[in-house]
Amino acid sequence: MSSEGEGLAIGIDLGTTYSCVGVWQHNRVEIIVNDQGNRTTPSHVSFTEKERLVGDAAMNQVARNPSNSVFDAKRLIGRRFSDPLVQGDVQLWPFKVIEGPDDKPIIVVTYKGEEKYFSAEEISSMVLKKMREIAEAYLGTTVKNAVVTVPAYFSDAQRKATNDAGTIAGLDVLQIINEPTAAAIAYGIDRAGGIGKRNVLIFDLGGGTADVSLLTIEDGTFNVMAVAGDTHLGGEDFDNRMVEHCVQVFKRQNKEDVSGNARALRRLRTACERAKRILSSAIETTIEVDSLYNSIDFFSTITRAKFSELNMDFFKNSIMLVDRCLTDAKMDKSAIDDVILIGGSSRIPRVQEMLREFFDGKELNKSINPDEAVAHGAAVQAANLTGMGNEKVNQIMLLDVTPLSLGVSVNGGEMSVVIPRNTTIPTKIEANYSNFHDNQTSALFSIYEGERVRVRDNNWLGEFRLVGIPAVPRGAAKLKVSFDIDANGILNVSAEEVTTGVRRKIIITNEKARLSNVEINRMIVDAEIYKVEDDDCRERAKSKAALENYAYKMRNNINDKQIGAKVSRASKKKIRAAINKAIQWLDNLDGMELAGVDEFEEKLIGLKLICKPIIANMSDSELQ
Amino acid sequence: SKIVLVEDIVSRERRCLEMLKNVKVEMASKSLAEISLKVDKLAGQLTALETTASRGGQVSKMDVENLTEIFMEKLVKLDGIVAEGDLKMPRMVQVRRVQKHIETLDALKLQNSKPRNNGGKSPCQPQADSSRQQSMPMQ
Repeated sequence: MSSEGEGLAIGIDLGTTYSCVGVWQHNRVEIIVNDQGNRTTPSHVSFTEKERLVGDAAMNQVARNPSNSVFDAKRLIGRRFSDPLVQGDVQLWPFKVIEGPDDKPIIVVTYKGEEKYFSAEEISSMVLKKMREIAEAYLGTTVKNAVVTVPAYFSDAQRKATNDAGTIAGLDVLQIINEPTAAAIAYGIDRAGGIGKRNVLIFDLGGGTADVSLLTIEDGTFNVMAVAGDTHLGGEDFDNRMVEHCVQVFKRQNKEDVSGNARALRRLRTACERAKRILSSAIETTIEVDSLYNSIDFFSTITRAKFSELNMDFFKNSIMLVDRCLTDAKMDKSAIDDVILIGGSSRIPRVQEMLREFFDGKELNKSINPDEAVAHGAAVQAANLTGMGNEKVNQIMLLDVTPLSLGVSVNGGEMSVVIPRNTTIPTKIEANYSNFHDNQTSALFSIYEGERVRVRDNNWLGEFRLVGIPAVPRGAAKLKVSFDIDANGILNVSAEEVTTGVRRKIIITNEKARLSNVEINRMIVDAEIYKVEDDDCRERAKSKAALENYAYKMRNNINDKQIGAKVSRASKKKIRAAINKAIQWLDNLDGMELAGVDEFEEKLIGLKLICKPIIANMSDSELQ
Repeated sequence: SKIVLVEDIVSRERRCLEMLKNVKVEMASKSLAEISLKVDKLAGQLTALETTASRGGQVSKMDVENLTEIFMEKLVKLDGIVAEGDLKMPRMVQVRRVQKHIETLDALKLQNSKPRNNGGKSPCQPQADSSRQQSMPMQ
């Protein structure tokens, strides 16, 4: 591959269920289609007896191999195994997740008959690598640089883990940006300039998460004022409510409880999800499942109003996020110029209605493609960072904020906030502390993120000890702590004793939930091995097909009356025997793993040596 | 006397609606037929497994689970067919059939999980292995 792709950078929307990749080309963003012709690729990785599959191929065989098909890695990345959200999800997944060292969740699959262990970062890196390959196939060059998006409400650990996934995939992650910010760029890029200053609210309600961001767009500067979100609020929750409702209805109608029957629940869930989609356009629909339980049919009508009633608290929560976002930005709702909807669940009429009501009857903007907007924005930012875009792209400036407050533990367990949430990044803030005890010569700095008063309710990020503090009475030593967040939202903390100048510093990398450099390097090597295996598998399939095609073609040729007439009986017999031998050999191969590429090629050459001299006497046009 | 030709808009509308409805019914019955065909094929695999088991062979747990999952998938697909009137019965028949197959698989699994209790049902291991391989090409 040529080196012209060196400077190229792509934008990747790494989604929970689907991922999407885009590139800036010919003065606009091109969303790249994958090998199946789809504009989004399932974030699925599946392991079989023979090979590893990523994307559509993995999704297509989920049913045949459920326990080795991994998805939803985004729900695990950067989280601890003991996290209640992880515990809840683990119950629902068909694949196995166990507790690894340091409370890290580990995914267990069987690959080529062997049990293998993967971290969420590795699974995500496989998806990222797939997206990279899709882009490379389209561009015809290697691609190294990428901008990757994460939900606005992702914690420091989750961002870093996503960054690590990029590294494992061999990508240079230029920047990690927030999904709603990317959507705002997609919205704003065509409208930048000429519209003056606009306050834009992005409302993103997807399958699993809800995100609200408030930005000010002015002359290509995208200034994020505030973000708010809920990492577990979305379409799947609505489905669950409907299922509960149906279980109740069935109980009332038939005095039977289906809640313990996993298969009946699965059928109900699918039927409910379908009904939910229908209710976005129809006022009423029926949920009908034949022979649901003990040969009893389920039949019930559900109205849009009933659906709204069932999920009213969820809907209200999503509107509350909007309110909180406005409060944090210190902005009145009347100051909002555009309300932009993205995410599949933002199609629900009642949600739209409530948003419209909240904004006193303001029309909502549905002009951007909810499935592609994020990748679109990421691609623009990628072009901006590499200087490959046009004038409009290059004048983009992104000012994002921290989603959670960051601080240190003081006085035995209180959270002292150093960087409040929704502070524009990159930023550097210093805070002064003093010694807690007389003659204290060392101090432990524990760093947390979150909004709760007590640190134990917040998210622990890391800690370090500052030693060499002079022995002085309580309160006399001056300790300066400085928090530094880069443009990716990744935190650096350092501390200094002012009078003596003793310094200690950590980049929050040694954090337990995160991978160490050694682990990342191992995973990079592993990823290469998997790639080689994948390629090898593909090559074998290719050479097997070549041999098969040739054998069958030759058989057709000599069976053909016209061609066959020109071949002597003895030659025919010779060819037939050779072909039969080859086909038999192929049939006896159970799967492909038993034979290497060279074996197939050897057989093909052998077959050709027998057939060629006989067939060569005829012109090509005579052959099929 | 004169003949006045008046276009009956209402009846034309009705014809259009009728046509749309017919297309829908046609599509539903087509997908129903498709699924039935697939279920037929899968039933063949199931029979092979059953034969293996009744001969006293060992059926692999993976085979049973995978086949169950494929049947479940078909069941969910059947649920997705919007059937009205005449199509309701055939859909019901298919659903019952798939459910029956799944029940059979459950029974196989149960029987499989406690082969010792069934005494002489699996007389010797090597035979079990060879009969299992016989069922493999069906997949």
